[in-house]
Amino acid sequence: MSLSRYIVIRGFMTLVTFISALVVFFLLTRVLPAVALGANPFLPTQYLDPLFRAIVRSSDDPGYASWVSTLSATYGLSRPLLPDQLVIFIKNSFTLDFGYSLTSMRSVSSEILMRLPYTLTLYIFAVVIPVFVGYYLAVAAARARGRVLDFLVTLSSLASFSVPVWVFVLIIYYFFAYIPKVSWGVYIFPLPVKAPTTSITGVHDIRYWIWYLSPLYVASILSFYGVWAYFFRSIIASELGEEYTVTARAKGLSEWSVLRSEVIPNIRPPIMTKVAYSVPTIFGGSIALEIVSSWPGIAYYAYQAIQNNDVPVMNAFFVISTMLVSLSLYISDMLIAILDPRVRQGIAGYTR
Amino acid sequence: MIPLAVERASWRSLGVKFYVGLSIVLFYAALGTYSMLAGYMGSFESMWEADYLAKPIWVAYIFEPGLPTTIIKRLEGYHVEGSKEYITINSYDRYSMNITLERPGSYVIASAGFEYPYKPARSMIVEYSIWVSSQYSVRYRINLSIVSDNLLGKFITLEYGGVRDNITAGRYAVLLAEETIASAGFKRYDSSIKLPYPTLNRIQEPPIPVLVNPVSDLLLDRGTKVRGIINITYTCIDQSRCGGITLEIRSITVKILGLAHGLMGTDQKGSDIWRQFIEGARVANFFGLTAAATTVLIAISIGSISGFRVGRFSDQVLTFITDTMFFLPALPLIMIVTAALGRSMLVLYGLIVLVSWPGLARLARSWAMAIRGEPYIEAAIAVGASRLWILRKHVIPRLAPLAIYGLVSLVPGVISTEVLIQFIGFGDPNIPSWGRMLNEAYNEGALINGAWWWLFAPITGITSYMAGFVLIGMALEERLNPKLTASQRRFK
Repeated sequence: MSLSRYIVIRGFMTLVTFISALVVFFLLTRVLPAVALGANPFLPTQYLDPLFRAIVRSSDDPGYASWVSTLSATYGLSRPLLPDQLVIFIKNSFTLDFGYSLTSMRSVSSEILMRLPYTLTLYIFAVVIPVFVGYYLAVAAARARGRVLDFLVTLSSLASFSVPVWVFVLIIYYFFAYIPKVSWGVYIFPLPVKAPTTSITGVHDIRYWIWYLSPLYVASILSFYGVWAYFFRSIIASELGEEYTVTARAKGLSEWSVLRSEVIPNIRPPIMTKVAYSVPTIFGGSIALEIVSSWPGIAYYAYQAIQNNDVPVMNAFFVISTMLVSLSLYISDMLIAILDPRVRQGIAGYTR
Repeated sequence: MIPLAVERASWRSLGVKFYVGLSIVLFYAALGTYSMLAGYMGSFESMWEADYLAKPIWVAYIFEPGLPTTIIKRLEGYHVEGSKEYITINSYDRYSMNITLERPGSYVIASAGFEYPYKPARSMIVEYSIWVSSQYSVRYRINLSIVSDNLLGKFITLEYGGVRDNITAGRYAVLLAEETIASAGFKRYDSSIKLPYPTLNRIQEPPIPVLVNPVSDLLLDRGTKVRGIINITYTCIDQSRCGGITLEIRSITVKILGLAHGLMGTDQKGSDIWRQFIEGARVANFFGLTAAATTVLIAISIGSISGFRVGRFSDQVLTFITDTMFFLPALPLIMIVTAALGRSMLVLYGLIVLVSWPGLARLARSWAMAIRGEPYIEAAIAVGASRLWILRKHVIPRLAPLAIYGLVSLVPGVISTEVLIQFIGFGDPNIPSWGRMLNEAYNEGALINGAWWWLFAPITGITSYMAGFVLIGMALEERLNPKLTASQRRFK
């Protein structure tokens, strides 16, 4: 199978799983509550539909009256939940048409897209940078086998993955924002009191933006590098026991050359696989970070929306998150396929 | 990490990590059991065990010796002050008194004093039960004052206005064992005000309203004597039908709230953080282990069936379901579905199981696939064993180590998700978990008040509990992967 064909097939499979994830979501949030209230999902029973109830509840204001009909039309609320509304929901998810927010009355997709860069700056950093930190630490530890550095890396990675990322942020806020502020009147990192606005004008805004983001970056490195350092170190250790390394040593290569030219190319595919399958976890972590630090990304927006029972925003949040996760998995799938020919050859017995 | 043959693990070979982790987990299990046995269940809301944001006792001991701890003192030794004419004592013992006042007028009954042994405290609670009864209609007024013998101090009055202006014939409770918060809820004093001289410029102020009784007004100091004084005045409404009034002091308890309390201090409501902490340990144990066990059960059964029938239709369907579930972003799903289905622990449990099984199921599938290729399975098929029999006799036992490893490695994830959901306020509001503690600490100003003990109690719990399981998981992973262990032995 050629690489391009593999990529197309994987893309198709990603699309199918994405759609089925939307179906599961729809069943859990729309059909299940309606059925719990005694509705038949195959008949048009809109008064038991949680979305319709949310819309009607927030439309007592006469100014909102026209907007109920707009939203009803977008979501097809007069039709049965299954299958009509489900199909409409999936179609809307692909066109990013989620109607209007119940609180701000603005288009949900524009609000979400406005906040998406904020989420992405956090999320991409949290996925990518800790991998490199962990990778270099693991290689350093592997070079210093059995010595203090090795021990320290193992120990610190244990600490790193015992502490959830948002707890790290709380700890950083306490020791590097609160204590310096109280003791010496300076902030090293900012407390999450005044979040940056969603419109950036000028250098000052960008500097504040970076300063506000810095504790989150530090926390995500501290919390996520441990998994990688530990995993990479143990996989390197495991590879160093293989026969091919013995051969390489017998040829007279130094330990460092064995590591660099024999072991490391060999461990890249499993590393990529592990990274790929940690993406949903890391995405969850970056969501938690946003909420704890009031960072104005999509998760914080959705967090406020959930408290207001703003169902269109909740739907949009889920769809966008699933898209991000699927896209990340797809990208890492392609990277794996490029790095490891066995995957795209579909060799029997080789599973991810 | 598919083991070709899992050797029987000797206890010694499991290594230091395993035992450190195990002892942490057992420690929290013991704490949880203790909280259950000590009858703490449901008493999460008990308030005012000490003053708000009281420090842990060991901190007070090291940095501020002499900081008060909570004193609960039942007043005793009641006696009538002044003229004892027209008074009949019906019954009398150490903590209570029942007397009849025969003529209208004013009477004063005082208790014996007790010595206050600490530095000044901030607030106190007085619980009292005083009953009044009369044969005829009378108008009466009772004051209960708590008085200190400090020369600068003035007395404070707890029950200022009469409770009932009129009583007709019968028996009435004045206020039956009501809890009266002396200071904290109503008027706060900044801790920077130095006791015992805070009141000098406050004497001109209007009278302190009912129930506002800062201990600072008592000017309590080490060695001050504190006592209770009950002042009762009554007049008859109808002079022709005028009789005595019976006053029954059942008990008066003074609780001077400490500024140092317990192993972990108190929170904003004066409730003991240590108690919340061990309650949280119970919830974490119960929730973490049950959710992880359910997940393991689902993941192993789906993974083994799918791996055993690899390539068949059932495998394809199960793999597709696993992949789909893997695609669901866990946290958004939990946040939204708890909003839609209600914020209960059961929903959270179901959702956490739903999102956490796919990873382990993949692993179980690849294990089952490897086991399926082995010669003894072929032999079993050749002699005509049914698939179910092979699954039960050969595959499931070989998956047992994976199940244990999965259980151990799933608990940290389950706990961190649960704690996070509680922390952002989407969890069950009735469950005293560490996440809820952290939520309260963060939102009710532990950071701003510098109450690090409140913030760090749940953080300590979460991280050490997770570290325990992570350690066990690491140790088991090394055992399950002989190649890794062997090379690591060579590594050293």
